[in-house]
Parts: sequence; structure tokens; C-alpha cells
Amino acid sequence: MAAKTQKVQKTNLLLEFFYRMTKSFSSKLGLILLLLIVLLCLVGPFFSPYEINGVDLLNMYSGPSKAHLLGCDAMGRDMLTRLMYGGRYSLALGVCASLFGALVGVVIGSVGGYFGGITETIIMRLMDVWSALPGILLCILVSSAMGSGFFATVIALTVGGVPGTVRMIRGQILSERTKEYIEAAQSINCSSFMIMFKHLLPNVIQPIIVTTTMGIGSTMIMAASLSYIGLGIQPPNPEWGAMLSDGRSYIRVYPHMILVPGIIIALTVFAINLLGDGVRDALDPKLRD
Amino acid sequence: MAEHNKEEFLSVSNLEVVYTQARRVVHAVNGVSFKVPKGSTLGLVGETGAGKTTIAKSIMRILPDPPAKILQGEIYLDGENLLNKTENEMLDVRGGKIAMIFQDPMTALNPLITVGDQILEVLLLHNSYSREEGMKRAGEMLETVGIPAERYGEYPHQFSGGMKQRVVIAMALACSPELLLADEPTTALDVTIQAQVLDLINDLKVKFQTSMILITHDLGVIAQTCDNVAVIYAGSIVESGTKEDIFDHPTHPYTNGLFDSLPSMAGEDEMLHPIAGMPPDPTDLPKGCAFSPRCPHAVDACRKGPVPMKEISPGHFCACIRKGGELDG
Amino acid sequence: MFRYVIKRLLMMLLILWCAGLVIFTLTYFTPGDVASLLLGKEATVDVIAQKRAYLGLDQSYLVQLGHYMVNTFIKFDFGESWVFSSPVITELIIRLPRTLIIGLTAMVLNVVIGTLLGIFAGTHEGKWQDSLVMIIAMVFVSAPDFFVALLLILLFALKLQWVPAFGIDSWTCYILPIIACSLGGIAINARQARSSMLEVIRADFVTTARSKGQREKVIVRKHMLPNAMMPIITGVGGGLATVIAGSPVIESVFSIPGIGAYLLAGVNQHDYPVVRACVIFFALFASLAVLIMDLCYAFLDPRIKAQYSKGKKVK
Repeated sequence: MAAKTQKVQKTNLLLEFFYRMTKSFSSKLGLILLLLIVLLCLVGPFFSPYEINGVDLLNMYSGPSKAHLLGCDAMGRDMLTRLMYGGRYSLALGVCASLFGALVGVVIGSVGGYFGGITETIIMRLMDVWSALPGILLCILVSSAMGSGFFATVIALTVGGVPGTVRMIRGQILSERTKEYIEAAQSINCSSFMIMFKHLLPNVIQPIIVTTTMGIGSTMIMAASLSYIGLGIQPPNPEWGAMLSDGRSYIRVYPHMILVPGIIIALTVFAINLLGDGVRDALDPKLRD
Repeated sequence: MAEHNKEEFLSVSNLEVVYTQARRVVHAVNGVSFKVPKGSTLGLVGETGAGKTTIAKSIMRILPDPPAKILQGEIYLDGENLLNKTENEMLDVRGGKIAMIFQDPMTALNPLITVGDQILEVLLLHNSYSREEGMKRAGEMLETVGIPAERYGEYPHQFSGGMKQRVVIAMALACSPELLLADEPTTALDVTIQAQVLDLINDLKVKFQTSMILITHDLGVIAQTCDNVAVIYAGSIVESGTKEDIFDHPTHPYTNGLFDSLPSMAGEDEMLHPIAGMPPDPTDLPKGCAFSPRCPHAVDACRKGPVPMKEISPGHFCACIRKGGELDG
Repeated sequence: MFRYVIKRLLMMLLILWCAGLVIFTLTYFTPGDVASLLLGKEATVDVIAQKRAYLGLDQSYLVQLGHYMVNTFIKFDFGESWVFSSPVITELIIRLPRTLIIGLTAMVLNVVIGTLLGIFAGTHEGKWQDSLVMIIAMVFVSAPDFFVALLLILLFALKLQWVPAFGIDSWTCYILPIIACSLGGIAINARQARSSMLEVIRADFVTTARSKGQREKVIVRKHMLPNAMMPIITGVGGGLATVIAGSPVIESVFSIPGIGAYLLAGVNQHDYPVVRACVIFFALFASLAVLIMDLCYAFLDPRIKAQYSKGKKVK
């Protein structure tokens, strides 16, 4: 009986989260937009009549038409097809790098925050050094040192965000560590492992979920910036930033070549940010009744 | 006329306030009426969320609108209806004629301004002091509440909770208000400091001849400071009278419940007697007496319609359909 | 306070030192033989070996590192560009003002306009003005700055021909880069200012001020604004560092020969002295910006000031 009531409580919390998420118009809009874009990128290429790198010299630079809904690029490749393929790269880069960054940050931050003392001092000094260079710069340097592969780019994108996550986690743990429920757990002889994972992390995790969600958007922008300046994912792979970079030489005459990838990046990040705001509001205990 | 005003220095009648939150209407204050004679102290007692603070903020007209809205009622201070005054006219009343002491001294002071300047602010608003005169007066006010004037230039974070509350009191009394609204002035303080702050308020009240409304949930504080008492439950006054009426002859079942739930030192009884149940949902108040769901004596008539106030003895009112005598049996 | 500043400066020195170590190591282990990359495909093995010896690349990692650290941090000598054989420091000094003009102006716009918009939105919470400002802010938070920059070029330089699209020939050339740099920051600051404004509006001390009979306008100016500004001011140092760090991208869009473009050229041409010098500059700039803003913050907020001067009695 007792176990059953507990289970009901838990599902209620999750349900409540979804209920609150979908209550606001903007997070609903974000969710729908994002799902549409993801679906388009995953399924869309199978329905496209064009090859991703299929050169069509007759249609070079051609604007949007019935055959090519979003026009063609400098080599006559269909923009829509490339956009859908490129979205896979862009989305995967954003998601992987954010999750990876959050994971690394959580591990380092919670080790520092929980153990305290010298471990913490060393970790925090390391983070000071690490964050002496702003994120985008580190990203440029690491990307140029590691090359242009997918995994290398994920690492490059991760590197810049780690110190921020570590600091946030540590701050959270510091403020939670002194709270009485931890003392209560210690007083009933909980092991430090149990306290760490059963008591501390669930209470610290909410801001991480919010920042990670929001982080996907800014990571995608960073990935696009990298490709734009010629690092990260390289042509002919159709990453969105790389497509923008391809198009900039023709900005004067064929603006659709930059407008199409630029707008889709902005739209995707917009959807993710709306969603992030929704997640933040839904998790905010202050707004809970 | 003057005599009349003295008896009815502050007169609140039929005040009704609601909060609108996401299409739900919270009935915070439901037709409250009371009077405060000049120089006397009225204690408002009730549980958290009973609407005490809302009443005080309505008198100051500092309720956040939206979400709060005063639906009806009259608040006469010295023969003038405050609810009819324009916002500009209210500026002179607030801090000048009426002042308020807040519940939490930790957050009631602006962290970026020195305590002296925060007192100075209210002084300059209501007097034609020069800055120097004002600073001197603010220093005097600090001394009055037992803080050395040298601490004028210090910031709120350099003061302890009790000292901060003293600053708040100095601020409230700086312009010798005629009416002081003290909203749980001691709740956030240590018990030892509570007595000091209460004594201070009492002394200053006598010194400045201020009328006062003291809001609290602590019957001990009421016993120490008040002349009259009004017991509030779910936004309505259920019993009112002099302190002696209420303490010696509590009549309403809720008032009785409040006294019963106090730990008793004298009796051999070691159990506490809390009031069963929870306060009603303010968005969905019962049709009849709001206390009837928790009342041990409730009968069908209680739940049917509103229960009017009845005068049991001169000046002692109670909103219960039963006669006062029956309770003891 | 003085001791605190000294401590922070020493810390900064240490961080710069580590940044030097890291960037040297990073460039040292970057794949590819620099000498042959510099000389091109036609170079003979002998010439390449000569070049390698000339650049000191034939020595071990530790020796090279030692040379680099001594030259940079003790002699303050950043060396010569491997590609152009010109001293890096002269080039840096020529390029510095261009990057700073864009970064600093953009930052001022970020804070001023962002804060004003945020306060405007916060004081109109829930009304259409609030929604409008927040939707526009969300759009600019979401759009990559180089895309905004390209759109600006497309509209104002190519279609309307009001300002030049590229280069630094006249002061009008700086208008578009500054706008492109600041729009995103304005949006971020507006969001931040709005949320801290909303927090302050509900603060108890604002109710206190109202109960004193203070006018609403004065309450906003005297009580709400300073408190709402605090989190924004904390972010200025980091924000400035981020804006400057974004210069490689913006300068590449507008073809501005600033430090960011210099760094990018260095990266692309394997011109490592240039890369290392630029990185040290960025690290120095970032730490200085954060340090200065922290000091301002301490000066403005008495609570923080009290923390820094712990030597004195604080109660």
C-alpha cells in the first residue's frame, strides 16, 4: 500500500512537469517547431529526389522554384535536400556537445563540491585557468588543433562550456550541502555515495537541465560559427554554418544562398530557446502552487 | 464632532478584497468592519493567510493591483475616506499620517542604501527639513530606538535582525504618524529580542500618542500590548471586543480553539489541543460560517447562510449562532 | 581592499602563465609539419630541414617551451610572424584599436540599451509591450551574430547603400560591425534586466518605500534600478570578454583587419607565434575586464565590499 502511494506521487510530479510545460503557449510553440524540424531532418532526405552532392550545372544559383523549393547553390545542388542532411549534423552537434559538456561538468563539479577541501581548491583553480580564454576562442583553437571530424568538433564545442557548468554545480552543491536534509541523511548513517546520488544530485540537477537545454541552442550557433570561419565540419558535408559560408561570396547576387541556412539555424535555436524557457518555468519551484 | 472623531479615529467598514490569480479568485478579506479609537491599540489575531496583512495594506492602499482589488468598503481616517483619495493625496498620508512596520526586517530595508539615509528619505518626504536637519533628526530617531547615531552611515547587512527591526520602527515613527500598522513586528525575531521590541513599540506609542493596529498570531503579544482584539478567520472577523472580553470570556468556537491550542503550564494536562482540520480554501469558501467544517458545535443552520455578528455584552461581538452561555456546557 | 587587488593581480599573472603553457602545447601538438606547410609543396627536404632549424622546431618540446615562456613572460618578446617575418607585437598594436572600438562600443550599447529595454519590459509585465520586447529579444538571442551581420550587409550596404560593407576606410565602416556585435548582447541583457527587475519589483523594501509615501517614479529610480542593475554589472566583465572573443567571426564577415582576423589568419596559415600572441592578448584582456568589473561591483555593493575587506571588523 505504502509503495503504491509513493509511485503515484512520482508519476504525478512528472505529469505535472509536462502539464506545466504545455500550459504556456510559447513552450508549446517551441516544442512543435522543434519536432517539425527534427522530423524533417530525419525523414525528409528519404523523400528527396535529389542527391545530397548531386551537381546540376543547369540549375546553378537558381532561386526557389517548383522543382527546387528553396533553390540551388553554386553547384546546382538542391538547397532543401542539403538543408535536411545538414540539419542532422547541426542538431547532432548541438545535442551531443551539450550533453557531453553537461556530463563532464557534473562529474568534475560534484566531485569538487562534495569533497571540498584541497580537491575543491585544485579543481576551482584549474577552472579559473580553463576559463581564462572565453569559450568561442577555446573552441576555435581546439578545433584547429584537432581537425575537422565530427567527434573532434564535439570536443571543441564541449571544451568552452565546461568551466561554467562546473562552477554552477559546485555552487549548487555548496548551498545544498549545508541544508538540513543532508545532515538528516548523515544522521541516519547514509553512505556518502548514497547522499551524493540519492539526495544531493536530484536537488542540484534542475538548473543543469535548464542550462543544458538552453545550451543546445548556443552550441548550435557556435558550431555554425566554427564552420563559417572554415573550421569544424568541412564542405562538402552540408552543415548549416558551412552552407552559409559557401553562400557568402554570392551574397550580392544570390542572397537566397545565405538566407535559407541562416533562417533555419535561427528558427531551430529559437525553438530550442522557447523550450528552454518553458523547462525553466516548469521546474521553477517558486512558480509551483 | 471632535468627540466623535476621537472614538472613530479609524473606522473600517465592510471591507472586501480579492486576489485574482490565473482566473481563480481568492477571497482574502470578506466584509471586515472595525474601529480604532484615538490612542488605543487593536490586535488582529488569526492564522497565516487569514487576511490580516491584506487589511493593513488596504488601509495604506499599497496592495499590488493587479492581482489584488478592493471590491467594496470604506476606510475613514479622521473623517476622510482613504479609498476616495487620489494616489497623490495618498502619498502624504503614507509615512506621514499612517506608517507601517513590516514582518521581515531582513528584507524590508534596501540593501544598497545606508540605514540613516533610509530614515532620512521618509523625513524629507513629509517635512520641510533641509538635508542637514533631516540627517540630525534621523540620527535622533536611531537613538530613540536604541541605536547609536554614529551608525547612521552603516548598511543593513551590518545589523542583526533585531537591530534591523529597530531601524524599521525608527523609520515608521520618524514623522510621528497618528496611526501605526505593525504587521507581525516580532515574528521574525528571537524570543529574547521580541520582548525588547514590543516594549520599545509600547513606549514609543505612548510617547508619540499613536493609535496602532497590531497584527499577530501570537496571543501572548496581544496580552502584552492591546486594548481591543479582533479575531479573524478566513478573511472575516469572527469575534471582537476588549482584551478582557476576549481573554476572559472567549465565545466563538474558533477563539476558544486558539486558547485551547496554547500549551498550558498550569494544568496537569500534557497534551496540546490543536484545532482539527485545515483553514478553508480561500478560492472556495463555505456558504455559511467559514469555521463550520472544523467546528465541534456546528449544526445545519451554521452551513446554510452567513452568520451575523451579535453583541453578547456591551462592546463584545461574536459571529456565532449559539448564545455565549451555551459554550461552557 | 588593496591587498585584495594585489592578490587578484598575482592570480591573473598565474592564469596568463598557464594560458601560455596551454596554447604553446596545443600548437606544438597540432598535427602537420609546420616547416613544410610554410614552404609549400615544392620545397626540398634540405630547405625544409633548414627552415625547421631556423625556427627552432628541431629542439625538444621542453626546450622550445622554455624558450617560449622566457621570451613571452620575462622579455615580453612575442617573436616574429613565421609567414611575414614581421614582429608580432607591432602588428598587434596596429590592430588593437580596431578590435577595441567595435568591442567596447558594442558593450556600452549592450548594457545601456539592454537594461533600458529590460526595465521597460519588466515594468509592463504581462502587457503587450512586455511580450513584444521579449519576442524580439528571443529572436536576436537565437540568430547567430554572423548571420545578423550578413543580413545587415545585405540590407544596409548592398540594397540601400548607406554604409560600406567591408574594410575600415572610414568611420562609417564601423557602424555595421558594432550593430552586428551588439544586437545579441542587447537581447541577452534585456532578458536578464527584465528578470532581475521582476524580482526587485516584488521585493519587500519596495513596499517599504511605498509605505513611506515615496513617488512611484522615485521608487523605480532610487530603489528598484540600483538593485536590479547589480546582476547586470556582474556580467559586464565576462560579456566584454565574450564580445572581444567573438571578434574572429565578426571581423571575418566585415573583412576588418583586427586582432580576431589576425588570430584566424594565424590559425589558417599555421603561423603559431601570431596565434600564441593573440591568445595571450585575449586572455589578458578577459582577466583585466573581469577584474575591473569585480572591483566596480565591490565599490557599488556594500555587501560585497564588506566581504573583500575581511581584515577589518565586519559584523
